[in-house]
Amino acid sequence: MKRRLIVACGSGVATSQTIASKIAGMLEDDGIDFPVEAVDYKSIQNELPSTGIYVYVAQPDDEVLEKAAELGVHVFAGIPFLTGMGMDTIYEEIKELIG
Amino acid sequence: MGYTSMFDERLIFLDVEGEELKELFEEIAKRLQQQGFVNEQYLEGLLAREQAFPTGLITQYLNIGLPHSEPAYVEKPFIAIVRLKNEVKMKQMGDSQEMQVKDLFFLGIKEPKEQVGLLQSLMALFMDEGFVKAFIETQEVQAIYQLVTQYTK
Repeated sequence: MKRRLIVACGSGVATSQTIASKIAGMLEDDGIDFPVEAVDYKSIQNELPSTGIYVYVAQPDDEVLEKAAELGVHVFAGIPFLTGMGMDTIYEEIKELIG
Repeated sequence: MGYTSMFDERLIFLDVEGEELKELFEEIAKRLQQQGFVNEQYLEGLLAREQAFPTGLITQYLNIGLPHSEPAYVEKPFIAIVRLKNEVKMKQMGDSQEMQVKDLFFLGIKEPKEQVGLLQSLMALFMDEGFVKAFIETQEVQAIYQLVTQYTK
């Protein structure tokens, strides 16, 4: 798996940055060194090949999901990192992949 | 946290009536414009943005909405706190799931780079059970103002 986690949203509402820094903070607290980056959804197709974990804000298109599957990129929902609902479960899964 | 100054007692609206989100947006846009916080294109920007990128969030203790427009329609930065008499329907950010909401925070962001920190602070607030419980129970403008400013200091 590529050592990079990306968070993408298309709104520019800063949601992806907020989620990215939340995840980065959680990893740091657990002493895990792993690159986390917020990217623009428009460039997602170019970002996927260099990515191991893709956290989405808006539900990605089928095309993007297919490409992610093809490249073996793991895909997770990002909204739980904003609301806290179901966050721990997703975070544990991400941690397991990274670990 | 540094966002305390964006709250304003004049922008805490409790018991707002409205059957649907659009009606509510019209009412709040009118009030914000009257007070000089937004310009006349704000309403249109607010509606367009919400349609393209819904801002509802189902958090653990409370459903909230964080409507906002492009920074261009904002004259002065603000956070308006709106509590509705009755719930209205809106969609959740990200998955567009239908949800009911009574408590909305209208975000008036002028500097896009401030958004991240602001959103983070608000999310931290809404994950804080103590804050949310106190927020729900508080029914007066001044007390709500004190609560939010105390928690965002």
